[in-house]
Amino acid sequence: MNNKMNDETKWYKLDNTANIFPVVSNKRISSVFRVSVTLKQEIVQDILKEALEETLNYFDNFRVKLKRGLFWYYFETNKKSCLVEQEQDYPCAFIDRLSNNQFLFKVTYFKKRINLEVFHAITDGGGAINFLKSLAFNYIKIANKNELSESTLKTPSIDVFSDAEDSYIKHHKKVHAKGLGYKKAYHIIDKRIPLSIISTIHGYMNTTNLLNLCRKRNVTITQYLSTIIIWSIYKEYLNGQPSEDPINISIPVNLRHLFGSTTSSNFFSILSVGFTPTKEDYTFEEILEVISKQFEEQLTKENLSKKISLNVAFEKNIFIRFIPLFIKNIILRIIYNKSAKSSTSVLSNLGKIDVPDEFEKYIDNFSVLLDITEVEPVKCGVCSYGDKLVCSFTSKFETPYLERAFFRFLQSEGINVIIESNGVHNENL
Amino acid sequence: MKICKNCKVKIMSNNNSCPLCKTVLTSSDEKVTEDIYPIIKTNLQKYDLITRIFLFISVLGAVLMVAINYATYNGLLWSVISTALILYFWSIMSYAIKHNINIAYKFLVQTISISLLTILIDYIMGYTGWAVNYVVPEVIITANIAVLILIIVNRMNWYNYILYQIAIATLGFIPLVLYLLGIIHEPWSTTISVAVSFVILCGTIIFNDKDVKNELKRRLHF
Repeated sequence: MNNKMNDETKWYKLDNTANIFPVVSNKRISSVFRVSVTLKQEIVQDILKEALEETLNYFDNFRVKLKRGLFWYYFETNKKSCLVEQEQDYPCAFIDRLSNNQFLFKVTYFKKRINLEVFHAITDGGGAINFLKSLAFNYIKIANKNELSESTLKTPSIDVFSDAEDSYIKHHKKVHAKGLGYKKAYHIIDKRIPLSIISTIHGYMNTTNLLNLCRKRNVTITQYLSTIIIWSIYKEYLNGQPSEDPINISIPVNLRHLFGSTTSSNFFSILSVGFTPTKEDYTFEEILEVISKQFEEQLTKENLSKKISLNVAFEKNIFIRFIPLFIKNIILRIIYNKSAKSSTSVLSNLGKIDVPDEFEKYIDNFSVLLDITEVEPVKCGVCSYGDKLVCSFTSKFETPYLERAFFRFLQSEGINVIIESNGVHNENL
Repeated sequence: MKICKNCKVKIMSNNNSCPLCKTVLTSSDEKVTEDIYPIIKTNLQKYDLITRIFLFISVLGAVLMVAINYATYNGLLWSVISTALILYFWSIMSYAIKHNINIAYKFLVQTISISLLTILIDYIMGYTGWAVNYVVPEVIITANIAVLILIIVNRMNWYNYILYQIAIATLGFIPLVLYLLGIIHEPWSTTISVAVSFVILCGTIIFNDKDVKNELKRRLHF
């Protein structure tokens, strides 16, 4: 008790996009995503716990609990110690802000894999990967003390000392707040798995092969993969027929590189690419051309900067600021529900994950799993490590038509795919 | 590793069917692959059973009392009181017992719900004003003293309770408003309630420290 007098409680405002997550999250919409790393050795709980304590010292924005103010939520330093458990739940489960010693993330392990499940209010995929990498390095350091060199052991396992700046505020330009128009998108309707069960299917492939294929078609991996998702939905669920509503895929983009930020809070924006089939029997190439063009139009610094500025203008609006939190929650929920309907599915590509040479031989692969919601019941997370690229689908559907079409298409393009799943589709429910 | 002859993809699994299309798999080698996910036990039976039983009993009780009240109606709507008591029971269940909720917040919720409950009972029994005259001011006085004790016992964490302390102290001025409006006739309980609240607010201002100021800054940031 006594030492509490000395260290003052620090607090942080939620960053611009983080504000939405505490409002809309519940058992059905968890807003929790998972990034995992698989090592080449079995995970030991005590070492993981020690590594986590060490890692937390460098990430102030993870060592927090969520509190309610009169006008906004805010984070406050969490002085409790964080728990480490063996994995015993389906991925991306809701993190109750009063459970788990009030931490807003969870570290679990299973055999050789370490999972980091993060409530989206504290950070995005980019920030989570940085934390997970640091955690993995610290684990490797403790578990393999004798093998590693003195200098490796001494260097802190981070790239940049954590800064929790709100990069949205830093990089916004003054604009007048106005509502963004949302148009309803096509939604897949199919029989769903009961209860809180979530199916997970990973598809591993060779990065270089995929990259060569994309180069030949003159597109990026994200453009190519998102087109395959649209193509699969068009073929499997629309049966190649016209649809009134567009098949829209939301693509989160990491803004750190583009704006030169090193924040460990959220800093991403969402592109929305879509295709409305107006006649029968489009070819894959036709759709790919439409989609990659949309990418090029939207993925410009001006466009993204405008998006950020509009969101910040909303937060900074004097009327919005002085509305008490519980009324603000109602408004935000309405906006969120409207915007969520404008997307059919999500593809999040965290890109290539680099690790320093000395740790490479201990790490097998990384993967990312996204939380699914009522309106977006299937999502895809992509990341690559070394020469291995993994597309991980989380889904609420009883039959994995989308995943099947997706991986069969890749296989037919000459990319060898290895499938791994959590076995939900093999069970008799 | 196994191969699905329909999907043409390789499959790492101990299962005999393809997770994508349920085709029976042919094994290319006999090596057993490790499971990558744990087997998760979803307990269908215990699923919130106790809560559901209590909820059902609550509904059953409320309906039963309304029905009996209606059948034997003699001018007294006593079933409203019993239904309100059931709702109060749920307010206790969801706030008072739950772990990890700020104790001062629990006091605040209890003060408000007990006040409303007694006013309702008074109203149903044929209004005589005993609730607003005596119960409400006394409940507020008790809550004020309770928070004060809480703060004295747990001085280091005073800042945690400050927002609710101020809220409860502010409630103490409601009897004064009601007195001025002529709803309350009994001056004594009102006077004590206002005096206690006033002293506590003054004390808060006099004794507040950096922690308290910071907490207010956090809670009220806009």
